[in-house]
Amino acid sequence: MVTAVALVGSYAVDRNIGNVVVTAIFDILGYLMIRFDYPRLTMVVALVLGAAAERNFHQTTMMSDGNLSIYFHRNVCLILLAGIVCLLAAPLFRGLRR
Amino acid sequence: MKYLPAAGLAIFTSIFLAAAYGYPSQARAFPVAVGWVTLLLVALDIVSRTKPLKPGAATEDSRPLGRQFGAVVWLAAFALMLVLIGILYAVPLYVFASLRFRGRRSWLTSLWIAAVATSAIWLLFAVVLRLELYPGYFFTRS
Repeated sequence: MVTAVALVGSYAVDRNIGNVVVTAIFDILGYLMIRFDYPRLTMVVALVLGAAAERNFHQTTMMSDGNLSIYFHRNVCLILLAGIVCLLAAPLFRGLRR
Repeated sequence: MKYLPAAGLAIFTSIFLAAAYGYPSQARAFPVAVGWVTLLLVALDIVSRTKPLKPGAATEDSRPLGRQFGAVVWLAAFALMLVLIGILYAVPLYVFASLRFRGRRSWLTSLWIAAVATSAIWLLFAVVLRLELYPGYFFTRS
């Protein structure tokens, strides 16, 4: 019943049957992510923010004529990059310490 | 088995990266960055999964593989039925079949739950929301 309402609901969003296929694919993907112990929330955040991230990346790259060093010029960028590296490395170090 | 998703993602990302390097220099900047970061994350994932599990920690899913595969096939079949024969035929068929053959309910129980589920969906989407329910690929061609 839940599956039926979910799939019909996905069609109802904009009356497009393609949505049903996409929902079914993501149903299966979500099940596999649970099965193999991957977090689903991060993927949802990536899907929501991905388009904005790509747009702003291109905007920034155009401002610097394709020079990627623009991401290292300002302190706020360096702090954010350092934060990302720390967040990525933290679980690894925690795992190695155990 | 626990490395299978990471290996699959590594192969997919490698193909994605190879395709991205064929783009013009400005267009490939973001896909290439995403590809390399994904490969780094895959490597971190593989490293984190090589750790031995602590005693008492959750192990792999104990449900039989065939049963899990069956759940995926049922869902895929339902989505295919929705596309081919439409909502008003696919929903009762799916609800009835899943209750009867997967849930091992009686014929009568399966029948009335399928009827109630279809009526509820029809009432909600067709009557309350005034949505034209998809009639199915076979019924829209003629």
